[in-house]
Amino acid sequence: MDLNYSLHNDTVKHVDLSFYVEVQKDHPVDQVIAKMQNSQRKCALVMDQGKLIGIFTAHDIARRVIDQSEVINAPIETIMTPDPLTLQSDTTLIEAIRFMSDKPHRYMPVVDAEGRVLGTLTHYAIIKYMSDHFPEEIYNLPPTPDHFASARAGA
Amino acid sequence: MADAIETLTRKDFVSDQEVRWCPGCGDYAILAQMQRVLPEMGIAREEMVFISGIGCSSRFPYYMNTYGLHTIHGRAATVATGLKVANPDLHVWVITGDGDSLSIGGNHLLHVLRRNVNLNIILFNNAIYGLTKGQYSPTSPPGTRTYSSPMGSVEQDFNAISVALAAEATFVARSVDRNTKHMAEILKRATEHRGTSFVEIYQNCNIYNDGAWSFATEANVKDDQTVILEHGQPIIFGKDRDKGIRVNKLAPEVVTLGNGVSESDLLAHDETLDNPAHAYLLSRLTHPDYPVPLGVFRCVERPIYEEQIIAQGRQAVEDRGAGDLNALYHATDTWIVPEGPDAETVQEVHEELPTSNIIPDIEQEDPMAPRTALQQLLYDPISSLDLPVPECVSADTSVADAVETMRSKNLGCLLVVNKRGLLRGIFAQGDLFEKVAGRDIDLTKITIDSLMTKDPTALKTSDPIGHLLHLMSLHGFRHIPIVDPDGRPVGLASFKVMLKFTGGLFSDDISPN
Ligand SMILES: Cc1ncc(C[n+]2csc(CCOP(=O)(O)OP(=O)(O)O)c2C)c(N)n1
Ligand code: SF4
Ligand SMILES: [Mg+2]
Repeated sequence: MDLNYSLHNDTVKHVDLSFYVEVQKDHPVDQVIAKMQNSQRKCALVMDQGKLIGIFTAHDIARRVIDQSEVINAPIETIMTPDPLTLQSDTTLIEAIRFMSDKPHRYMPVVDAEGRVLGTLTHYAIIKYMSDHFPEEIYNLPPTPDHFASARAGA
Repeated sequence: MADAIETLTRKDFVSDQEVRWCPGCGDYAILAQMQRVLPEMGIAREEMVFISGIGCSSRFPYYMNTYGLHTIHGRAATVATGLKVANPDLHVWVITGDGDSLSIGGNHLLHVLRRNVNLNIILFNNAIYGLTKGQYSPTSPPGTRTYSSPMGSVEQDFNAISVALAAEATFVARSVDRNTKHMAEILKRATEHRGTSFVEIYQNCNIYNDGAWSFATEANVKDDQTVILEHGQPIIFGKDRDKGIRVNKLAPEVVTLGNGVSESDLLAHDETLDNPAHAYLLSRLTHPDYPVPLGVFRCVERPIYEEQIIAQGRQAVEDRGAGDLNALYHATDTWIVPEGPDAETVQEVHEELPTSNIIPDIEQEDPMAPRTALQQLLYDPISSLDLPVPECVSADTSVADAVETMRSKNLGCLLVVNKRGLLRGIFAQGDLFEKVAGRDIDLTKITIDSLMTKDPTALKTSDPIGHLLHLMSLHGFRHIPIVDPDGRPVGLASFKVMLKFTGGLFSDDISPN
């Protein structure tokens, strides 16, 4: 399928939005980090009674937590980024790509018209979505670019 | 740091051998997933053996930096069985093709499966003999026209999953070369299973059987023409997940959800059923009448062949003593032939091996033609990207200083270089997240040497952008150092750089390019 067409017609709902965990606003920072590490997700959405109120990412850990041991037991809401920017679920991928490449954000929660969280858009998921269009050119490559053969065994 | 254990990476599994598959062959994707998954399995390289028969697919062991045996046609399973009995601690993988394991080696495949030897079989199914230049194979459907069936094959084809189930296999699964994530999961499941794991992978031979599995790989049809099996879940498929499989008097039928049909009416998948009938029924869902299942059909436990054989041997020694093989040979009915006249010496003839074909030149493009967005995305050199200059530090930088540098300069990662400026490592926020966050570690006391990824995968400015996408999408590398021919960092590629490049590449005029 034509990538250009897909990027303009598919929406953020068509990529894998599962790269995140959900936590409650009163969860202590260390528990949130453990949950993220255990599930290998670098993004946590902070919820309050089912509503998204903040975001906390590996980037925040590196900038605000890693050398500040006093914050580790505080509730996550004291250190999260409140009121995160979100994307509407009908945003096309090309819009999302342009939006995310201008902003510092690596993780964008995706919400439906009623504001319910559907998932989180990540840079990785977009790259994977694009690569899925060219399996032969991208997945079927040798381990390093100079591994191509001068002669092949078969055909 | 106590838990900075030496873990293996993808690179540890890449051998230095030139990969002799045709450009674009699906075998590459399987190799990439194997090299990606194995480091996560916690098995030492020197305890792994890849054993193959003959075929393009069977060249696989050369490309894995593990032990390997490229054996005889159809006999990989046999050699592997012997190896497991002799040394049951090894992790053994059998790599085979549809010709190798279903034509000449069909018999051997059946027996390794029913014996339940604890090894993993990966069948690269391209429905063709690739190596011998495109003859039909036991998985080519009737009517397939090839060099050896010019008027169309008149043979009923084999369904590899049905064959494996009939041979009493305890783990049976299917994946497809282009669904890399699914393949990785299936390879992991196969590794974890105790007993023979049989995995069929639909593999595209883009030279002799291109598009054989396009129903399962093309983005616009695959969701409607395949179904991902999930244990315990009703069998639902379709781009809108609105269709399912119902069983009516032992026959599967496709139904649409709604209008009185609910999820509870659908067949629910259970891979652990002792009776293989359920798995067999699923294996008969074939294209184009049904969505073709991908995933684990069957996963059950049964005693393991080599464990029982070895136990019997031990028992026999205990009961009757060690025995003497020579004595056994000479026990009865043996004689010595008296020396006769000198035997004629046989002249050995060494024929020159034919050299393999050289890859035909790829069609030359008109150098003056404007490059399309896709050509730029896949083939242009990395030097055409707008790459930030990396921040380079030495390995004895303290983690505290590194954190501060990343914070003040707003960087996601640092490159680590030696005194000569050559790339030695990469230290990223991800390392802090995975190895430091939540632990009580004094960051001023440790250096980034202990946390960084050593000898990271780097590319050169002349390498194609497509290879960046390869590493990013298959291995999830967010940052990839770009180095000069000597290995000095000159740029840093990242997800972000790729997104920016893509955003600029595609115009809003969406006429097909
Ligand atoms: C004993 C013997 N018979 C026949 C051959 C010729 N031969 C080489 S590879 C091959 C079939 C390979 O097909 P497959 O296993 O599907 O591998 P692919 O190349 O498609 O990956 C055959 C028949 C041989 N090498 N040895
Ligand atoms: S002949 Fe087919 S299977 Fe063999 S290497 Fe070439 S593309 Fe792959
Ligand atoms: Mg084949």
